[in-house]
Amino acid sequence: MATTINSTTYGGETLEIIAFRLHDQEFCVKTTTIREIRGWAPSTPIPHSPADVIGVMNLRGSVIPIIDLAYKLGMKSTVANERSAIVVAEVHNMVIGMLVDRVSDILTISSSQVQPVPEISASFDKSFSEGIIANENGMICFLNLSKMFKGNEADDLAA
Amino acid sequence: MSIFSVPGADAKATLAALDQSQAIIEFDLSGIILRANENFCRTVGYSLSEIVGKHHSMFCEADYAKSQSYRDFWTRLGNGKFDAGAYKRIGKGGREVWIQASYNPVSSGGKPYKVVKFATDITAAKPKSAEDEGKIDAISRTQAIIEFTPSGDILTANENFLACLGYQLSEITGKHHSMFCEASFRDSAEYRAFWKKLAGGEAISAEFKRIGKGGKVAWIQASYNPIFDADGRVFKVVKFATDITERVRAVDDIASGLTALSKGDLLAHIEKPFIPTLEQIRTDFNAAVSTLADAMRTVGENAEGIASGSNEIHNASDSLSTRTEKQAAAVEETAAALEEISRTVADSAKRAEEAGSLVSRAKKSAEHSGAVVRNAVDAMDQIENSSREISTIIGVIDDIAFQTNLLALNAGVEAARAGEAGKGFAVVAQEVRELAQRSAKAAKEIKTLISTSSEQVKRGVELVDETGKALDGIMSQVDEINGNIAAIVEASREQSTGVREISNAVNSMDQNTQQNAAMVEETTAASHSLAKEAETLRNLLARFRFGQPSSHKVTIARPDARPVASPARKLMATVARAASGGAAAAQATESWEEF
Repeated sequence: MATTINSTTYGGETLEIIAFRLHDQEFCVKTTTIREIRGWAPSTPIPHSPADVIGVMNLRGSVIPIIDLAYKLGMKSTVANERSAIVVAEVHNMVIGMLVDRVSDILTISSSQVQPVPEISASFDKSFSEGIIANENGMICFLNLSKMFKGNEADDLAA
Repeated sequence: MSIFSVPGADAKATLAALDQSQAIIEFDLSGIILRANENFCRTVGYSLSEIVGKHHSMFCEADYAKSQSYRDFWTRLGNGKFDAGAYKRIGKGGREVWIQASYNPVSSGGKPYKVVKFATDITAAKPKSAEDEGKIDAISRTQAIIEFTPSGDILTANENFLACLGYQLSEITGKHHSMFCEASFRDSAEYRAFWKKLAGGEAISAEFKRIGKGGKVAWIQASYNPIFDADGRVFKVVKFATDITERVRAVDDIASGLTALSKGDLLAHIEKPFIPTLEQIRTDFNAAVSTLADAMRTVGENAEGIASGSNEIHNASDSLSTRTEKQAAAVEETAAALEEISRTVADSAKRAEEAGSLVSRAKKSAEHSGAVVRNAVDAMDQIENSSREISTIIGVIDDIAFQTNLLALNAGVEAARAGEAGKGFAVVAQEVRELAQRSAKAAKEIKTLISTSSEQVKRGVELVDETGKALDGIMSQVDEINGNIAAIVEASREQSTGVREISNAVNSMDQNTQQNAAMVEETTAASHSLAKEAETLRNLLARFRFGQPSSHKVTIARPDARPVASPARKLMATVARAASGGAAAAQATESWEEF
């Protein structure tokens, strides 16, 4: 994997991102929102939970929800396997686990590399995405976790 | 008569004399007895008192006494006529008495008043004279009689004699006997001696040939009997003759018939009848000749039959000979075929044996291959196990690489969260992560290789399994082949047995053929001999004449007829040779030798 590590020598602000794959598509989030990365472990389903919540798991004593991120992003649900990974993130002071197919890389990019999501239609809610990072291997969709998981929703989840 | 009528002493004396010698009885004219003398009483056996006053009929047989002739007798006497002769009278107690008597009416004054009967008892003489007379009559009736003087002059002859020679009595009376003889005999000393003998009182009896009137030859069986007078002198010669001309002719006919018969003429019948006494001989002769002719005819027919039969037998034996030859040829062909079969059987048995050994080698190889395959399967299993273990290890390595990657990611996350301070650590984490990724990649590649290898091992195992199955199939097929080969070997053995049996059958056929040939020889010889004998018989029969000439040609058996050489004999060697090709050899040869 050709990893482009943009060092601080590049002018402007740099961003630490972590890239992962859902199906064939690359997504990334800010590394600073990530608490840790875990291998897949079976989660316990919760009755009447939202469709994007697979279940809950025990993370060193605390129970955290596991989100089917692909479903959350409007894609086909991810079928978990032992090579799947759970990215544990802290959003709105709440810890959640997101199921991804695999973690691709930890990158450092300049914020200029992030291009805005193009206007498609008025009804298109582009708040989930902060922008698109295009590099030679394809394009990475830069997800905005704090917008994806709203405060009340996080509360709902925490509750 | 007159003497009785003259009274006187002389007459009385005469009567007294007569009274002493003669039986005298006196009757009245009616036949009542007046008086009888002693002689008469003695003759009839009555006393005088018993008869006086009775009627003469008491001396007669009852039938005669009642007859007309008896009444006539007395009527005649009453008329004065005498009666004399031999009379049969009945004495006392029914005794028959023959008397020579004369009944003499005694007349007085021309008128008869009584009847005197003078009688002599001839009871003893009467039957004899009657017999002699009868005999003479009988002889005269049946025989030819001629009387001669002692010198041979003819005195008289009876009808038979005259008929025999065809003369009248007047023609021969006073002639000499020599007129009946052949001239040569008439003049001979023998003839003179003949008469001399007769004159000398010697009787001569023999068959004589005499010449009748007109030279007719007559044969007579005759006896010349000299008759002697009271002085013993020959005063005449009486010849009793029987005409045996017919008998002699019959003998001649029989003789000529027998002569003809002796010359083989079986048609020599005697047609002219013989005299009754000999007729039986003639008919018997004719019957005998006819029977003989019939027999000969039958014999002749039978000879023809035998000849044709022997011819047929000959033909049949020829035909039989031909068939025997054909049979022998067939036996030969069979033997040749048998030889071929024997060879084939032997060949196939050998091949079957070779095939059997090949099969057993193939079986061993297959068994060995089976073992090898089993080893290969084991080895493959081990390889598979190893691959599985490697895969497990690879999994572990991959897992470790994954965990390492996760750890490195977390380290990177931590380093990023640490900001500027974590930069160095981030680099290290990055390198660890790269190592982990390379290790995961290598593990993946190894895993791919191992899985390919596993795949190939799996295929190898399958192939080896298939090979094993194929080998099993080969084994069972080899077993089958082995069984088939064994069956072929067994079949070959059975074929050998069959060939031996066929050989025996051919042997038996050959024996039969030879026996047939021998019989054909015998038959030919027998038919030959039979034909010869038939020919002999025919020649024999040719000497006879019996109405049907035996002129049929008798087929003589082929002179070159000889035993047919048995073609079967030479087969012995052939068959034996054929048999030696198979298992039947030894036994068959023995039996052939035996034959």
